[in-house]
Amino acid sequence: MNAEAAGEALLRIEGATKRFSLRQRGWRRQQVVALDGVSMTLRRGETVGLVGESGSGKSTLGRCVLNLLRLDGGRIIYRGREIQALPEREWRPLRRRLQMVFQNPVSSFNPMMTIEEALLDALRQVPELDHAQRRQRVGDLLEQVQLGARFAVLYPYEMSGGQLQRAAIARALAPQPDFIFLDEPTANLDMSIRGQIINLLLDLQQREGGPGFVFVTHDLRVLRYVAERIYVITQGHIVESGSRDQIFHAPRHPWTRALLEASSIGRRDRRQASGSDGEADISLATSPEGGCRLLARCPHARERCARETQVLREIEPGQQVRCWRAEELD
Amino acid sequence: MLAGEQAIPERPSLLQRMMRANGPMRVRLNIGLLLLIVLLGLLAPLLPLHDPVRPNPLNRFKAPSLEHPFGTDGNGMDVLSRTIHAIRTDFALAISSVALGIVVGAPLGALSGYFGGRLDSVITRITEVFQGFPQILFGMAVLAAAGNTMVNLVLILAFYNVPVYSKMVRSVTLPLREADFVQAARVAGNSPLSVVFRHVLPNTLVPVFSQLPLSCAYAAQMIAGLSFIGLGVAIPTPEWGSMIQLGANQLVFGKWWASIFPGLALFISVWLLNNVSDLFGSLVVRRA
Repeated sequence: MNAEAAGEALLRIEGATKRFSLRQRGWRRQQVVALDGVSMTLRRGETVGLVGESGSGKSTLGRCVLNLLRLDGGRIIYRGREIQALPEREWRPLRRRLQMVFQNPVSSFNPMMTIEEALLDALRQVPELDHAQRRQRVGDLLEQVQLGARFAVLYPYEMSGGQLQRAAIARALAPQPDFIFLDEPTANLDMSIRGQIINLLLDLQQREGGPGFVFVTHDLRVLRYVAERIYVITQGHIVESGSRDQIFHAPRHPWTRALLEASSIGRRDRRQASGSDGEADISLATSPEGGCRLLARCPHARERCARETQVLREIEPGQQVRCWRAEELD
Repeated sequence: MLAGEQAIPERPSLLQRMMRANGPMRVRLNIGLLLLIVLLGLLAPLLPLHDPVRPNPLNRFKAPSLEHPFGTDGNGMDVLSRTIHAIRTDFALAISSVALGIVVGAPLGALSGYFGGRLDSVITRITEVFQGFPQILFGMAVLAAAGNTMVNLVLILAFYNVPVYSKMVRSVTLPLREADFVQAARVAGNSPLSVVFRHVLPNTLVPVFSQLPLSCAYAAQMIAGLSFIGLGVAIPTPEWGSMIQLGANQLVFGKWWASIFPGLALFISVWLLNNVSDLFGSLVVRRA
């Protein structure tokens, strides 16, 4: 039995840090910290949820893992190999293994290519297939995502958002990757279409030897159905991580609770338990040096929160929380 | 496997879609007339016309008649035949020079816009230097120095189309660099060059297509202009500019036909090309 089969991580992110510079008027430059020491583990075939509000750094994390952006610090380890600093040429063989589905299905397809051309383009990195086999594979993939072969000849502007998002999933599946980063795949879709995409993912999870997923969303409800483990991120920080049951039934961090209350499912169960006003407010207010970043918005804040930088600590097996009051808040 | 149950249908080509009779009337009329002119030029050798290059000293500056509907010029050559044969010369030179300009300019612009940095600076500076020279003077100088041949004429005109197209494609490439589908193309395993040539460049062609007929019109004017001052295409090769020049000094004696007919042909061609240029862009954008 090799290490992977024993549950060794397929992909490990350690202390990922990414800063963006914003040019301001005059000479002053403002830096925005999009990722601040994010660590994450993904096992083979596992679906991990990553939940956070807009601007919390979740998409940035995906773009860094896929080498579309360069990390400023930290490591990304894929199958025991550090990949975050590889030059483009050495990275390209990994493209086949690490795939991504973008948030906006319409803009993620080349408007000059039909769906078939787009899928063939992604299949070019599978050298062992000849052209006829690739065309065959395009048909298979479209069937797999429940689109008929008739969609192959359509241009992106001739399809709906839900159909295109299926095609995008087919494109990500094309080279048979180990890992797919789903960047809010349902955010731009109607409620009814959302369900179809979720069902498609559940279907893909059932397959033997299928890829692992990181499912990014700002809507915690979606993760109840698809994720085995969940990471909660805000302001570039992971504030809580744990199994689906731990996050949904025993959330410890005030931020996670607020997110749950903001979603309708959580509201009924949690309204009584928490003393907060339940608003998952999206504000970029920075906190004082050294203190907890959520100080300004936390209903449970104490004087100690302003002094002490919070660290992730394990409070239950598999559950980590970045809050010193986690235990007493129950 | 579920595959192969439905055959993947074929799609009509761009040409078929363009020819489909659902375009606006104005588009069809202009493109139709332009194609008629091109067809006339292509079929010229088969038409019952006089030999366009056979001089006849006894038959100089004859007024339009049944025998010579457009009259004859200073060398006694048939003006109608020469005007029609000149379509071949002028269009071939204009189209090949513009095509050469696009083939060189568009990839340069896409590379420069996508990769940015030093490559961009170098390409942009070079194209700016190109554009710094006054065109007619530069054309005259090169033709005088390097030889008055059609190949040189095409090269000079192409030389001036390269920066036009490289700048245009560069400007369209810049916003595409961050587009989702370009990022998706990277994720799909395309090399940087493959991203540029398979994904970015085809998406910059809409403005190129709408500029193309305009460039052809401009090139046709340049060819006629240079030939008018005795550079470029020389008599006896049928060409509108040199024909206008040959008849020009007879205009004052009332012998208007040797200049007016080729002049009209040039005017109509340039006018149609300009119209088509206006309409072409919208046709390509719709793509349906």
